[in-house]
Amino acid sequence: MLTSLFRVYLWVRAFRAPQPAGQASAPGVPSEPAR
Amino acid sequence: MNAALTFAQALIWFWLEAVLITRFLRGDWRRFPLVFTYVVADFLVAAAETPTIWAITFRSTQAARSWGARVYERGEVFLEFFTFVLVISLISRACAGFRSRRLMQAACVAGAVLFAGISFQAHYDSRIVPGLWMAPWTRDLNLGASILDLALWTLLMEQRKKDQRLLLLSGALGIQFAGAAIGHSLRSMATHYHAWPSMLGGRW
Repeated sequence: MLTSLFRVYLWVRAFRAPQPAGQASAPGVPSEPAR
Repeated sequence: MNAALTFAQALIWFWLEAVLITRFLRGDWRRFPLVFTYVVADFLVAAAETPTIWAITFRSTQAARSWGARVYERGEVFLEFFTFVLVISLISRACAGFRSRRLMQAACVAGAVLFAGISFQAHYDSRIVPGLWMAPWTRDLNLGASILDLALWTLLMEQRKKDQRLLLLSGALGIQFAGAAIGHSLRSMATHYHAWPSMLGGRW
């Protein structure tokens, strides 16, 4: 049971929610506002 | 105390499974359909087993124990075979570019069927209750699954471009197989010696 719990936890980590659109990783979007 | 610990573990497990299913439903189930099906099947089997576990914990009658054993045995056998299918499908995915992919698939399937069959022949005994021969059999199945998982891990590590998600999936499966093999070993030892390992058996 404990190892099954740990397996599910690691799988939850593996399928982490993707970053919301419009964040720094989106192509063409600067990570900091232009000065 | 034992019941409270089991309840707390089950609560966290069901919550994490629900989070995992929700994340799959955002779109990843299309990339990993078999992993998603396994997660849902695991959730349903655990949901079916929960009432029987509580019945045995709070009202340990002969009928409750027999019902619980039947549900547990069927669920366990189903999940063990599904696990083998899952690991073999992940191996097949990991060696997608290999020329010998078909040969590797066939070797994995044949090896798994042979291993499970030989172990079943070695442990099955119609004169004893299924739980007594199932514990060493499922221990062997978990050992076989962990060997296949090791092969999968080796294949993934050899790839130039590492698939972090597949590495995490197979690593987590390996931990579960090792823990389950230890747990079933302790359970089968406990039936021989009627000793403390039975308390630990279910915790792994």
